[in-house]
Amino acid sequence: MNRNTSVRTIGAWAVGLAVAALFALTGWMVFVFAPREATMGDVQRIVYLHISVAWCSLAGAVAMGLTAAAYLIRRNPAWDRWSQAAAEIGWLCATLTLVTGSLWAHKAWNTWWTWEPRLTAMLVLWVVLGGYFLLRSSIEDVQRRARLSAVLAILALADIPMIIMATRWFRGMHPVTPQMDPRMRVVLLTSLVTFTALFVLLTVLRKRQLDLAARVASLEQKTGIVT
Amino acid sequence: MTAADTLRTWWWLVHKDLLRELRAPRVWPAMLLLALVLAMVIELQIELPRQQHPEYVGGMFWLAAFFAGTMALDRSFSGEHEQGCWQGLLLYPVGPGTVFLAKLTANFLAVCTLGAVLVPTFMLLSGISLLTRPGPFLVTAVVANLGFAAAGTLVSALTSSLAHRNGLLVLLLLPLVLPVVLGAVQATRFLLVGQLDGWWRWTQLLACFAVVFVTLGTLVFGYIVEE
Amino acid sequence: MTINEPKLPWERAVGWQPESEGCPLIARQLTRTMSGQPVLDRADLAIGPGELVALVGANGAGKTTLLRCLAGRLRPTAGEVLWFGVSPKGRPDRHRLIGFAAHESLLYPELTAGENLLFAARMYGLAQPRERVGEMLAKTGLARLAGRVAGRLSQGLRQRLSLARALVHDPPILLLDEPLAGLDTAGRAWLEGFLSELRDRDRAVVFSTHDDHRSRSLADRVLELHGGRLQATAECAVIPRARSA
Repeated sequence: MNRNTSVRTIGAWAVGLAVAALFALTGWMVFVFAPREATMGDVQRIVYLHISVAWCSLAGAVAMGLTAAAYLIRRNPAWDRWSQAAAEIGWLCATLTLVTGSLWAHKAWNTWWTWEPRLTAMLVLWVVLGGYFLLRSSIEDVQRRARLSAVLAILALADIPMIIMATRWFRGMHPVTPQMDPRMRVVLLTSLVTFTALFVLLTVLRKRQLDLAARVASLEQKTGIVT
Repeated sequence: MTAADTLRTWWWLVHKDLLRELRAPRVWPAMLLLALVLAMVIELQIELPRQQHPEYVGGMFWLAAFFAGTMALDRSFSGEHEQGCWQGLLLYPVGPGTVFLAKLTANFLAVCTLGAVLVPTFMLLSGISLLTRPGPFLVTAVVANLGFAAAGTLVSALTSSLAHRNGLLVLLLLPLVLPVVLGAVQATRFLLVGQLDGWWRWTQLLACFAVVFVTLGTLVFGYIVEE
Repeated sequence: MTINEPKLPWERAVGWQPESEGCPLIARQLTRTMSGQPVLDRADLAIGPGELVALVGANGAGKTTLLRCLAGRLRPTAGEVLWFGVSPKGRPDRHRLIGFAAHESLLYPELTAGENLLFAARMYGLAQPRERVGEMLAKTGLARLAGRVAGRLSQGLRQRLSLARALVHDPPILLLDEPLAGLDTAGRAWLEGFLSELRDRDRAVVFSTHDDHRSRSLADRVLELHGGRLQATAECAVIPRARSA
């Protein structure tokens, strides 16, 4: 193992351990430190996870769009792999948002789904990201796939603010900052930091995977040996 | 190329598309027939008390219009791929932005024609006039159709040259145009119940979407058609 | 054949310098990969005014890819194409310098022969498009078929119309992808005469063909594509073709 790989491996382990420590801290804060909510009781604690993964899914969509634009300008395939990695982790977070939202809605309103604006916007984002993967899987040529999916990512990025606005106006709801106990706010902030760190770590690891896969594909073509 | 040259080129591109459709009508008749069938099926299934019709007829109208409109969008580029015409078009000294604007214009005219046929159809079937305030309704229809045509032209260009493109256009387009669908439906609803404030707010969102996607389309179309 | 190699006898005989400003068409280290596989591999060429160059090669050798790169339609993975010393990248207005006739006709089947040409003339921004269309229809022997829908023309007539479309704006560089394919004897004779006339008018012409033997008698130079690499065939480096007066 050369020096660069050793440094990278040690770095990855260190970051992983740090994120694990943050998770442990966040877990303690959510279940022990945070006060019990008066109306919803312990079920309310799912909100810390729900808001955090929702934030990460939006971050993923934005990162997907920005790195896609970078690819179109620089034509460096690494930017396309960043875009794909961010989209995948973002989509995973969107899925978690919908699941936690449904669980919360079932307890709060006795229904698995409600056309509440944020859930609606998240569902649309989930479908848009799904479409992005569908487009990628329809194109075999690597450069063409990168180029066309970059365009779609940029269209999606431009659309997201309007989707959010439209779904909020649709339900006649204006943005409201809920009244939160100061301790709850601290827990929420910690949870946001933890999940952001996890999002970044997963995206970097996934991008690294895609880099290695591209390298293998290149070697297969050069040598004619298919693994 | 001067602005006059660009305008002239744009005009002859639109003229060519309209002439082709006139000579061998493939898209417009099918699109109009589908719209009529959708209008009939929707009106048949939804039995509402008469006083609730103004609240819902706009939604039914726009759903039929957008679903049928995807047919025009689907054919706008696939028709060019016959006989290599698309390759020929891109060999001319014409910027890709101009080609996009010309395709957009042809698609916009198609969906406007569709709307012009659907309005009396829905009025006949539902007994509700969509034209109680014709000026504002026309404004909403124009900006909604423009935004829909812009997004649809881009997605159609993205998917037209793919081998396995069946259904991909609709899957990619409908989530992206959610702000247009919601906007058009809500603007029409507010107009029919006489709430002009609500109508104006939604029409502004539609205009914003149209401006964003027409501008974005002009900028990114070159990346879509590049090989 | 690379530009930096010692000049062959026929080049000295023709008397032009590939690197000079007036050279219509230059390709340097042109490379195009598709799905990671090289279709074109560092192709170099220079085509001077009044040169008729045949491009030969087996099916799948990359002839169409090369022609489309030269026409500015395909973006090369590496290398560059120059038209009169300027790259066409990001300059759609410079497409006026190129006439391209592909294997497909590039014609709208619903429009008549005259309408197809008129559309092309308008796209090229010609000052008097209708007059020019009449001229091209007469030149290609299609005057009496101006009102016939392009989709109903025979293969040979579509080929002529396609050529007329490529030439409507009188470009200095002409790229033809298998123009001889599908033509009968009379059609081939007509086309060969047409190509010779273009050469005599100092147009730079590159045409791809499978017919190696015939191309050697027609062309000034024959370039062969093999495995993505471009090479001049031995026979061309002998005597330059004498031009008709």
